[in-house]
Amino acid sequence: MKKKYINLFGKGHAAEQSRFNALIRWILTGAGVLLFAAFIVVNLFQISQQKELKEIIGKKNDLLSQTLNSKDTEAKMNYLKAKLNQLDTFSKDDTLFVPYYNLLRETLAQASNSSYLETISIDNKKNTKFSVRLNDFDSLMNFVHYVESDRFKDQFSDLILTSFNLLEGSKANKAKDYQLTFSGKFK
Amino acid sequence: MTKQKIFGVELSLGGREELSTLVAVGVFLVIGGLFIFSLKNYLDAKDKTANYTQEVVRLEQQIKNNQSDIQTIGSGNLDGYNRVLSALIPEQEDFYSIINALDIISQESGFIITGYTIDAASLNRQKIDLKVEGVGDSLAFTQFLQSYQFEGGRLITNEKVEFATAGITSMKLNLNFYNKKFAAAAAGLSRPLNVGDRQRLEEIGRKIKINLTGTTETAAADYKTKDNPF
Repeated sequence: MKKKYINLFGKGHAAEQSRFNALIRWILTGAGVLLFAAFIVVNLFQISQQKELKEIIGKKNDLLSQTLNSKDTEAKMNYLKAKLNQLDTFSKDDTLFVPYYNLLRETLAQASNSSYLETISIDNKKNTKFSVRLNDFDSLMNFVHYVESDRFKDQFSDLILTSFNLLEGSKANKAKDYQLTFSGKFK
Repeated sequence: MTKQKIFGVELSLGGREELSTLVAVGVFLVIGGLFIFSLKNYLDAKDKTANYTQEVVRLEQQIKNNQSDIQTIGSGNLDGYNRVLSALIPEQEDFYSIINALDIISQESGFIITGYTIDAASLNRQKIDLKVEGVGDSLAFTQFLQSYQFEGGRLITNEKVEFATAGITSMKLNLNFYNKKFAAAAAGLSRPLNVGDRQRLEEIGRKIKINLTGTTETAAADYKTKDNPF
């Protein structure tokens, strides 16, 4: 019967055992040399990495001491930025009435000499309602033309005429006054 | 030749070949161990370097931002600006400064405040609601509306204004006053400070008559709103 394996550790196979040992030694020597070379390379990398680490730790310590030296100023700056943030946040509650009021007054003054802003309300979402009073028909026509122009409409993202009233006039000739009430939203 | 059993295998260790094979295995294992040890150290050092680098970048950015902010604002003005801001939004509510603020705005605008009511439910909040009644002509009221936000030395907002432009009118307004504690961990402005911020602070400082470079001073000379928190 033909042998299917070699018992390298068994007795009576000295030559085979010797060849096996030699093969193992060659493999180990080759692999050992490669591993040693890799070990040297890794060590070189490690030395360079340690040097880099040492430098970066030194840099961090320098920066920390710089930060510590300016701790007082930094604390004041943090306070200032936090309070400015609060100011920005809380200021959003405000209507900013006067700029919008002035804008509307100036715009209306361009429309007609006899028009005046009778009532106005503005909230902090820029929603507005205002009524304009005019003394004569010509002023009313001028005003209506102006209201339809882009120059006027550009001030608003949304605007509708909610009421139109004919009122007892203030003039001596008993002419009627015209009251127009608008509702909308400033841009 | 002596025979020994190692790991269940019978070896004739007296033989030079077997011995040298074992030595080779031993040396290989030692080199392997050293290699793994070095590799681990190298990877550890690399990780640490990456973490420290991140920290250094963060610190550098922080210092750079701080220097840029200081350059924009001017380190000499910091105390003054902080006085302005802590007067506008005090750390805790100070009712005397509310009354004082209303008094100052009333005097400066000519809109006479005839009464005010504080919403008791808002007393422990950061936002105090105050219903104010006053009389004045449209000019005085417009003047009041123009100056209420800062000129009293407190930040005041008004969520809705209803205004009849003709004649002497009695007006009712809902005003809000604010207070908020400063917490070091609280989020400040996420953006760097700019010249606009400085101009705004200068303008508010002029309005509320706080000396930005010296001691605290308000329009009502006998009343101090808040000290510098530092």
